[in-house]
Amino acid sequence: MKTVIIGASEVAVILAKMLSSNMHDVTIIHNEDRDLRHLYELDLQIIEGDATHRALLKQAAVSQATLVASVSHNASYNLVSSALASELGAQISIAVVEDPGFFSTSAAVEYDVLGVEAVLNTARLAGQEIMKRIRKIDLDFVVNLVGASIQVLLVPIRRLNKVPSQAPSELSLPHGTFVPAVLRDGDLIAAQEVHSLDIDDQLMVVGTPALISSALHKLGVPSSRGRVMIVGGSSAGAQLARRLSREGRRVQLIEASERRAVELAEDLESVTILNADGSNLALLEELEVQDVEYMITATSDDELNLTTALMSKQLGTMHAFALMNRAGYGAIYERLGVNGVVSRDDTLSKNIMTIADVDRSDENETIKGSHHVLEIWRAPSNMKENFSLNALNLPPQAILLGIVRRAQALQPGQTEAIRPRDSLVFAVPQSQIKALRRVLSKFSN
Amino acid sequence: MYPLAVAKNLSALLLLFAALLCAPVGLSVSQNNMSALVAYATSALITTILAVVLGFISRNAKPRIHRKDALITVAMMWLMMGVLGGLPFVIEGSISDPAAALFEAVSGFTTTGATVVSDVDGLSDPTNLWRCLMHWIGGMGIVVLFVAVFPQIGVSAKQLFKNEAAGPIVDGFKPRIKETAFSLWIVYTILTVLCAVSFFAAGMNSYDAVCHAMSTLGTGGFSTRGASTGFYQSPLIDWITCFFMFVAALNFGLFYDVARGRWRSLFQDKETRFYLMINLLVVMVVMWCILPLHNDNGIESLRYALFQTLAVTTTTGFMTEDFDKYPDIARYILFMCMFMGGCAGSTAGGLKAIRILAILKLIFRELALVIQPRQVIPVRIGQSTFPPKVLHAILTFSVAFFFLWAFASAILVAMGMDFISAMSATIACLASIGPGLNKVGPTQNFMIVPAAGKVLLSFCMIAGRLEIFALFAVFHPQCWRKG
Repeated sequence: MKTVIIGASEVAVILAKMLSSNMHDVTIIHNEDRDLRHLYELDLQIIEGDATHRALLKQAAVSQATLVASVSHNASYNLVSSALASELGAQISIAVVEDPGFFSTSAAVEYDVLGVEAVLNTARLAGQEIMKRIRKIDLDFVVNLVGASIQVLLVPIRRLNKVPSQAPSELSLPHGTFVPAVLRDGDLIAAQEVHSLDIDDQLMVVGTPALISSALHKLGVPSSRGRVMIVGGSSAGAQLARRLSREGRRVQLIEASERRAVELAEDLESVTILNADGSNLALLEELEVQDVEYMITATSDDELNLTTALMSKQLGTMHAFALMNRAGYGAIYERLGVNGVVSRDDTLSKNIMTIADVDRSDENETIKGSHHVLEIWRAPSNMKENFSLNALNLPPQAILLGIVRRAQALQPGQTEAIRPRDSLVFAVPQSQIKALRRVLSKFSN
Repeated sequence: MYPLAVAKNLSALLLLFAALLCAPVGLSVSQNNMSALVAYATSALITTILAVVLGFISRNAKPRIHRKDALITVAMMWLMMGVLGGLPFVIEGSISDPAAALFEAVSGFTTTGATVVSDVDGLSDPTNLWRCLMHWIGGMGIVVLFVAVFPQIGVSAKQLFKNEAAGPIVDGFKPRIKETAFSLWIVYTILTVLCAVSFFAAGMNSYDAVCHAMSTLGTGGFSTRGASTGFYQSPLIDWITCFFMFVAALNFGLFYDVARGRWRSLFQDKETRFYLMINLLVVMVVMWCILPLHNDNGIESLRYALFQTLAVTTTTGFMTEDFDKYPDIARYILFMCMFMGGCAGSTAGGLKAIRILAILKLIFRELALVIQPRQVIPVRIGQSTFPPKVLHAILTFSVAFFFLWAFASAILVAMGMDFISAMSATIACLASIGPGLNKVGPTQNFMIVPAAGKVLLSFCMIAGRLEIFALFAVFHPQCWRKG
């Protein structure tokens, strides 16, 4: 498989390493003043030049590329180069745009913009990742799939305020969230087959990540009202503040730059904004950080994020998370006591890999407490015609959990026809994976 | 400054003014009232001559004006309106003292409604029509009317408009200034017609209905009757008046939204909500205070409390009962309400509800900052955040408003008026309410104020109507200097 990476950012290097170790034929096009010679050992092609020049793209043979990922620091450059690559025949083109103002929704990924297959926002992806980690504190099983477009989680009935009287398929949940299956005695059962719920059951809730919290609220999961402190008003910090305050929590955000603080105060109505240095010990003590449930550090300075997270943990904060730019430091700091270290570069490159369907090892998770695993199948973009879900002859015990269409989570009953580029999320017993893949391969081409 | 450009604009404004004087001229003709005809026709003639002379002098000037010229034009026009508007009173003999006539005309145009006439019923019909017409024109503003009807002024419009429209922001209206001015006048006219029809249906004669409607929508307060609205002793007329007084004190931009189908904006507007809340509170307190005066009849007390409260908070100044005879707590609250006035972008005067709301929010912000000085708290009203510059302007305006009030009151006291009469007379004029307390109370009139005091109060009325700075800037030497 051929991959073209545009840009010489840290993410480009990570992607190049990951892909070439996956036996991809990797080409990097960049015009930045950066020495990439150390990558030659990976056996890849490096072309210096402007990726908005069609001649150059042709030279890089983008028409044969499975994936073109534009990951430079310049959003317009990324958009133009990946759109051109699409036009020249690249199968999947991906562009990274950091300005949230470009996006028409609050999703981390938007599909099919300007002829680019997927446009990604790193800050939002990292924010989704932290939200997932926070949810994971309370729930055993939480995963984000397909570029964080869909979240799958298990909610024990025991944790609800009361056992729902209706059948799981009749539960009324916000649009975009649903219960496709129930976990009972280690078996995942399709929701339609369950008529009443038991105290030991676990509900599988699936939906758009931004809507999951209101779905949980509707189901009667008691929500924590604990205080949240965010240090750093970066785009990711602001997004987390908004999401968490919407859940009804008291959120304080500390931002060092006065201008940015004023901007945030105007933007985030129900968040308390403080203009101060969040890594200041005396300040954290004054703000009674020991009573904070979640501390999230999200400044642009990695060291500061880590030390502040550790410091607040030492002072008694219940959970501390640090957002990093660089990849690879997470494990060490998690051992030191930080509950979660999320790297922007890491999250971005992993999501590019899954959206491009290059590597889904991250997503083939075993559903905790069952012998089912998650399996994702993506309808090819050159699919001849839409096919009906009824034509899908699933192996026994395999369940279609949901469909992701253009960053939206759809319930299987909501749509009959599968369109090109739809992603189907299945839960399937380990033993049946091959059978499922066989069924799906018929539609793959 | 370009004096010829000012003259050119003034000339056009004066022509418009002369056209307005034709209304009482027409009524005098139809009623065969010779003395009124002479008075109004002469005034119209003098105004026209003045306009023609100014027009002739400035025939070669470009109509385009800049900030300074706009300030001077608006201020000059308002001063001239006082003089020329009072002229017919002197000629007709209805108000023979020139200072009193000036006071009456300024009170008319600034929609104050404070009168020097003790026997309103004795005034001729054309004079009463003129008094109410002054309210109506002054309410929305003659310059705004000018911007709306004269097609050629173009770029100058914005400069002129800014200086006459009331309140810190005119919400709802965003596009071109000329369209804004035009739609404001359309909304205003429709509401006035609705009000007049309602009055007529409720039993007023057509002449009274039209005059009262103009006075109500302009939040003026002049009546064709000495006993004001109280003359009719009709609950229905009281309720209608209350409704339209309240409507006139709301932001007209919101009605424009309503007319375009956005009903919600009327109820979602934070200033409107705040204003409504204050009014409800005051009505309840006043109603409770005056229960004994109305033999504990709840409905009657509500009717009178609502009317008197709205007359003050909308800065209209009609009356159905002498609120100066109310218990002291009710009098005091009504007196305090005089400072607030109506909403921004309405025809009402005063500090405006949105300024009070912003100041309250500033106070709460200051409190929070004492506890946590690092906090960043924007002053947010509805969807918008007030930038520091606007907040600064709001505070400065409010302080200037209080200083002017204190200073003018002091001069009146020095002229021999008592404390309460002087203070209430000044605020009644500054906030364009009309009646004050004590010697200038609702059943009294401003004749007792010395001539110099009348001129001072006329000045206060214009200052209040033009929101102080637009008028005082003209007295700043820099306004007359070159460059």
